[in-house]
Formats: sequence, structure tokens, C-alpha cells
Amino acid sequence: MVFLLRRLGFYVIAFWACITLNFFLPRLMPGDPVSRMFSQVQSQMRPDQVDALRRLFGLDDRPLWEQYLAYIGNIFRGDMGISLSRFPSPVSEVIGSQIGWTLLLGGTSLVIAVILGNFLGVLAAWRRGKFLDSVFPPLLIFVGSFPYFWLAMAALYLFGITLGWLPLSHAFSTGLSASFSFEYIGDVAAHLILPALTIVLVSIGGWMLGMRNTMIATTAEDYITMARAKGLRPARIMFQYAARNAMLPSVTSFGMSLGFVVGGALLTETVFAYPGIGYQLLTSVQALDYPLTQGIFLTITAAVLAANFLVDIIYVRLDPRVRVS
Amino acid sequence: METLTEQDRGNIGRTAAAPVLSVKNLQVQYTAEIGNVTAVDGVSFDIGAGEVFGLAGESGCGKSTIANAVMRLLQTPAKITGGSIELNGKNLLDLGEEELRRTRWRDVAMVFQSAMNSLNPVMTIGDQIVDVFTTHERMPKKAARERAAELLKLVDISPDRLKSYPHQLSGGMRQRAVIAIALALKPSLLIMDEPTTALDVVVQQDIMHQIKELQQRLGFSILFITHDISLMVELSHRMAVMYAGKLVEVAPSKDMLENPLHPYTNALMGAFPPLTGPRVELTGIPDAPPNMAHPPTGCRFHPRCPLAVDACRTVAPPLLPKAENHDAACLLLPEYVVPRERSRR
Repeated sequence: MVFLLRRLGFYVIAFWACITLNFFLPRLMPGDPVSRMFSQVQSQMRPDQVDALRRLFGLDDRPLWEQYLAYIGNIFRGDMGISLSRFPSPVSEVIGSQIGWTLLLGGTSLVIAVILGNFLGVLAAWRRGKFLDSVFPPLLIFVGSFPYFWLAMAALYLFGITLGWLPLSHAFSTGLSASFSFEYIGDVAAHLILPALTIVLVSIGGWMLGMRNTMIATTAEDYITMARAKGLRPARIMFQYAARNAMLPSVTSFGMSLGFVVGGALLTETVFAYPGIGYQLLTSVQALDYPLTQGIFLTITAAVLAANFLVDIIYVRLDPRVRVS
Repeated sequence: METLTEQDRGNIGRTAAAPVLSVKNLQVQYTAEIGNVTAVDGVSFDIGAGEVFGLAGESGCGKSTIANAVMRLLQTPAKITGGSIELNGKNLLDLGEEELRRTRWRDVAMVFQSAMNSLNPVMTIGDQIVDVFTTHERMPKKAARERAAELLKLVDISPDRLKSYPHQLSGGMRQRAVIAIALALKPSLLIMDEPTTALDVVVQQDIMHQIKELQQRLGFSILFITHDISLMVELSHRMAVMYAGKLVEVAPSKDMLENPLHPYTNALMGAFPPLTGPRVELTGIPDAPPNMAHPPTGCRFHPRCPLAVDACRTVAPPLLPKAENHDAACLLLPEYVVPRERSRR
């Protein structure tokens, strides 16, 4: 418990550091969003309009520390300013409309890749040098080395166009409205298959190889020999003794990846025209939409920190050695 | 008596009852790039019921390989290439995977060298005892927990410790917990491969006393492996000295200590300080143990032997009786002739 509180303290400080950086970095850059808007509308703004906008973006003439305090206050109220490129929608609304899809796509593909990859890694290491171990890792690394967009487009062409089994783009069919009906959920799932499948394909090899290597090191441990000497069943030794110990590094990587899921999958979203944060981030950077860019960065940071904290909690459950001290 | 076969050589001084463990002509090879290494070469010995049999020798002489061979725990590149290992009359080398799994721990258990690492760090001590019962006896969890608590008491650990993880116990406690796990199914043979090397001397003494006491109380046999001769003499009834994959001398421990016959045993004894008695000059054994990929011809000890003669270079000495109840493999020792009026025990 003490351990978790200490970790929590660490994350709070880290988050504060992120907010601070997020506040100062854009203000150290030349120019400001309002001047940019001003030039966008070909200078057709009256000075009082410009002034109003400046206040709206918190770019008034107050001293920096006052702006900073106001900024922090706004963050905790969930107010991250107004998006420029999608004026006048608030940043939180823009992110909110996309994040669900990002979490659905990223979360689903990550969970599948992790579970399947680790399971294959465990089996490969357990039967080292046998079929699974000699065929799968090179094959999956080979597949994973394809340029992602090429693989995605090939999958799209094969399953979407040639075979026509799966929808080509978007997260659900036009004309359907969100509801808890079987039809809607099935439709969303069908749209999810191709993007998720391609992500799983390119990432699963890494998970499998990582798990395989840790697992091989673990099977050389004395407690595995002792478990074999104890006459335990092979499945129990493999999971409860070997994999249970070998999974610990994998859990750490899982936590890291989980945090970055929030950043979206830019290429996937582009190829499949799937809504999501990744594409939003790209457009916001291209449009010099500072508030939105900042908002997305902050969301990603918060997600990474939260995911790490989650892993800490899981770790305490998984590894009793962490609980002491 | 005069017609003892080579395979009976390890039986010297043992009681007449059927042995618990009977190793005959065991040969173990490691496949290596430099060629096959025969780590154990034609080793035979018996261990009787309730007997503590010691196996001593330098690092790399094949002691642990024998232990792992008896447990059938050898993995590639090691392979048993000859001989037999009979446990209670059943040849372990004939068993299939599933039979072997059922035999392990029930009939023969093992205490490993490093107690620090032989417990699973993410499971409680209790769970690691319980899984022996649930696997081998299909015992319900609750009953298994009660048995586990009794076992811990047997080795002087409080049953509260069932919920502890290995890292929460001291080294000595961990080793005692491992001993408790080993005794869970009341095996007829317990193999102990340097069970106290990782512990300090005081804890070592404690644990050895405890093992001795448990052995006398429960009556199991022990195959005790160590390079610590004084510890071995203290604990074992009979002992064998091993050199470069072969047994060079087998005798009751007391005999071996007081009257070592083989030059290697002699040298080994000279390298250990006596715990009591007058101060003596320690002597080492010159040179290094042989390269097992190309073991010396003839007697394997001849390059380091102060007494070696020409014949030692070419003739491999068999293990033969050289005194009463005392076998050695050395050409220089005259063979023991059993007096007519006395028959061997």
C-alpha cells in the first residue's frame, strides 16, 4: 500500500511537470494562435474582435504566472481551450468525439496481440526448437517488417474489395445511429476487424519473441528443475512456474503500450479512414492548431501515466517481491 | 564371495536386504562440440534401506550428474547411455514420461544445491507444498494445507509461514522448507545435492542435525552429495569417492576417514582440516582435474598421482576389495583375500 502511494505521488509530480511543459512550450514559440487566425481570415478582423479572441485563448496581457495558474485551473475543470481548426468547438469536445474509437481500435488490437503473442511465446519456448518455435517467430517478424500501409492496403484490397467480406472504411455504416442494438454493435465489430487485424499482425511478432526469450531464461531456473522433480504435470509447470515468472517483463511493456494506445494509430486511421486521435493530431499540427495539439499531448501523457500506475497495481499482485520495502 | 562381479563392487558393507537404490554400470554422456564427454563412466553402487550413502569428489567429477540421472532430470546435451538405475526393484530408465512423473517425489525426492533458487518466487511456501499433494494424491486443498502445516512443523518452521513467499524467509529457513517439501510424500530415497553449500556454517550444522534426526525418525535412505568430507563423514554410514567420472573408493565412512586406501582419497583427506585433534599441515592436490573430453588413459588419476608407476598409464584399475568392506580402484594395492574362517557381513 505504501508502495502504491509512493508511486502515486511520483505520478502526480510527473503529471504536474507535463502540464507545466505543455503550458510554457507553445508560449516560448514565436507567434500566437490569434495572429494566425487573423492572417487566416485575410486580416478582416476588427481590433476589438482580435482582443476578444485573445482573451478567449487566455493570451491576455496578464503576467505569465497568472496565466499559468489559470491554465492549471482550467485543466482540472476539463477546459483545454478552443480548437482553432475546428473553431469554435472546445478541444475537450473534439478529443472526446474521437477517443472512444481510438480506445476501441487500439485497445482491442493491443489486447489480442498481447494475449496471443505471449501465449505463442510460452509455447515456443516450452517446446524449444520444435515446429512452433522454428516457424512462427521468423514468419511473424517477416510479416511485421512489411511497411504497415502496404500490408494494410493489401488486406483492404483482398478482404474488402476482391472478396468483399468486410467493409472498406469508417467505424460504422452511414445511416446507423449509435445504440445498443445487435445490428449496430455487429456493424462496428465488422468495421473493426480489418484495422485491428492488421495492427495485430505487425505487432504480435515482437510480443511472441519477447516472451519466448524471457521464458527460455526462466526455464533454466532451479525452481523449474525442482518443479519437474516434484512430478508436477507439465502444463502446471509451464504456466504456474515458468510463464507466471516470465510474464513480468511483458506486463511492463503492456503497460507502456496501453498508455500509447491513446495516441492513436495514425497509419491505420489513414488507410481505413477510421476516426481517431492519431489523424486528429496530424491535422491539428498541420493547421498549427496549438490548443488542440496541446490538448492531445496532455491526454496522451495522462494516459501513459495512468497506464503505468495501473501496471504498478497489477505488478504488486503479480510479484510478491515488489510488496516489501 | 570370491566371485563378486564388477557390478557388485559398490555393495561392500551393505546389509543383505534388497537395496532401495541400485545403480549398475551407469554411463552418462554429454554431447559437446569438442566431442562426447563421458561424465559418468560405469558407476555402480547400492543404497540400503535407511542407509545414508555419501558421494564425494571434486567439482566436475560427475557427482551431480549421478544425482540428476537418478531423478531422470538430465536434459540435452546430457544423456544416459548405459547401465540401469533400479529404485525399489523398478528400473527408472524403462519408465515412460507419465510413469516417471508419478514416481518422482513419491519414491525419490531431491533437495537441490541452491535453496535460494529452487522455490518459485511468486508462489507461497504453502502453495508449493500443497501442489505436491494435489498432484500426487488428489487430495482436497484443505486437507493438503493441514498436511503442509504439519510438514513445516517437522522442520521447525511455524505453520504461519505457509502464507510467506520465499523472499520473506532466511536462507536456512528456505532450505528447511525445501526439505519439508521433499519429505511430503515420505519417499524411500532422498537425494541431497550439496544441500548446505549456500549457507553459513552455523546454519549448516543446524540443518545437518535436523536431517540426521529426521532420517533416523522416518527411516528413509539418503544419497548425500558434497565435496565437504568432514560433513559427509559425520552424516553418512558409507561413502564413495569419485574421480573423473568413476568411483575410486567405497567404504564405511569411518574406515574411509581413518584408513583411506586410494592415493586420491588420501590426497583429498589431506586437503581438509580436521575439526578436532592436533594441528596438521594441509596439502593440496597438484595440478587440475582432467579434461573430461580427453580423459587420461589407464588410471585417470595417474597424472596427478605421486605414486604412479608405468602400468598406471595404460591399465584402468577396476574397483576391487582391498580391505574388509573396503573397495578401491588402484593397481598398487594388493587385493584383499577374505579369511576362510570369517564370512562377510
